[in-house]
Amino acid sequence: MKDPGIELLERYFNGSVSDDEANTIEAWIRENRIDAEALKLLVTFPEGLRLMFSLNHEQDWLALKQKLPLQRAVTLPHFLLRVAAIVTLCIAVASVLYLSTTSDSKTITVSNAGKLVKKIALPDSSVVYLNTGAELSYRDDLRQARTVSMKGEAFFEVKRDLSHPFIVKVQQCKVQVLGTSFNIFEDTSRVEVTVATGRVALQSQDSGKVYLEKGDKGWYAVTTATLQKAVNLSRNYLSWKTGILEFSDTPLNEVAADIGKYFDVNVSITGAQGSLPAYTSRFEKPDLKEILEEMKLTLPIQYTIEGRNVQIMIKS
Amino acid sequence: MTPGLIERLKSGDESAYRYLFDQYYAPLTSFAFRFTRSYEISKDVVQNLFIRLYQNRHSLSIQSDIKSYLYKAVYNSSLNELKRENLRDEHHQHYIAEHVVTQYDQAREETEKEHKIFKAIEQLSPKCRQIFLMSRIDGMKNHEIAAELGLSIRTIETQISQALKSIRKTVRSIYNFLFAV
Repeated sequence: MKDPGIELLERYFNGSVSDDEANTIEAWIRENRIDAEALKLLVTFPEGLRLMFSLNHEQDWLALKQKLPLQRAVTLPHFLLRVAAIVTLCIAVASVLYLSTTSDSKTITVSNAGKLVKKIALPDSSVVYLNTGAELSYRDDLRQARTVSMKGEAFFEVKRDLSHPFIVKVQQCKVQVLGTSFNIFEDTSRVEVTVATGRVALQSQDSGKVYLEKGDKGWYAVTTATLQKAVNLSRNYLSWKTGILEFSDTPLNEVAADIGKYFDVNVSITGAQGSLPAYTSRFEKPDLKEILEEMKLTLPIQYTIEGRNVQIMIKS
Repeated sequence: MTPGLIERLKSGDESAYRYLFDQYYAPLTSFAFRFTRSYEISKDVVQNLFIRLYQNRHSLSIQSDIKSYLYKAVYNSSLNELKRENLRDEHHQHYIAEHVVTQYDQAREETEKEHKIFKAIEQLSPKCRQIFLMSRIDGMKNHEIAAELGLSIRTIETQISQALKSIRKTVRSIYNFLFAV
């Protein structure tokens, strides 16, 4: 049953509906097991909630940060620390040189230490979503030179501006676009770019450039220092952002890989996969157990979860 | 809670303060506003809390959980601010007498519920979120939003329906998540 519409709900919570209308709404609430209290907040939007939206989170953090001499966490082995110290010195010299030639623009770094996806609105109206653990840096004069750098995983919706290309620096790669949306995933082994709309150029310092269209993915393999390109077959490359996991005739090992990435767990499979039917299902904001329980209904498997380790056993 | 958070706060690690700020800035400011009734004072109360937390980080001893610690500190500072304001205007005085004194628990509970909704709305797709906020914050009617964005009323209705559905779902899953761990 469809919801009664926001305008009727609003009248309901203001107490200006007919008995019939009230009955319809209450039936809908019961039928869908809706938390009426949460619904009321959502419809009436009290001032406490309004206030949360009126805050300028990023700006207020920067204001606070200026008052705190905070440390950046450093957990590197000794020799790396020495290298880092030298690099920092070089950067310091470089930035002094740089600062002396430009106005007082600052680098802003946003990292996502929380469990939920973080959304960042950039000064040029582009939007970036950061997955857990990801980090994005940009200069506050981004509108003039649209260059950012990142770590981890992020989805970009770049505002179209033909005269100012948007560049993402990630490891030794550069991703250049004019206005489009795409996902970047980066870890120690690879930088992977998957294009949702538009066209993207993925370039590495040492192995040239590939152009990626909507539906393509391209990746830079760190160990072999090569760029490659293929059609993206994964439906789940944006699951971390959408909360949707979808499988369509998917072999169990691919299901396991997607689940592993989504929940940040290690999934191992024991037993012969050869005769196992492929898996088809769709989940919205699932929990791990919910998926595994549902898989058990259609596939001959058992599973165990111990901490971050999930084991799937195929019954012979 | 994130492991070692207290230790990281003590060592002055920026990411730990950033984490607390991301998690609690919006709800704490909103919580302070319930008492101070002033946007600026509420922001100051929370900012000063972070500064004090940093200055006293070495002697930080948190008996309960850090969330309760932060809420309690904001509550105390807000009441102090009120006293300092010296209860200038009558409405203010009236409000304080009526609402403030004993309502810590209830105010916190309401703020946390609102914060859950806030986080769920933040998760909507940009378009859906924009339409939903135009409807709820700007108080625009569906046909006004349609006219403003050059979309059909049907599209606006669908987007708002989707927003309601997806927010309810997220609120439910946050709730489950909190109690499942």
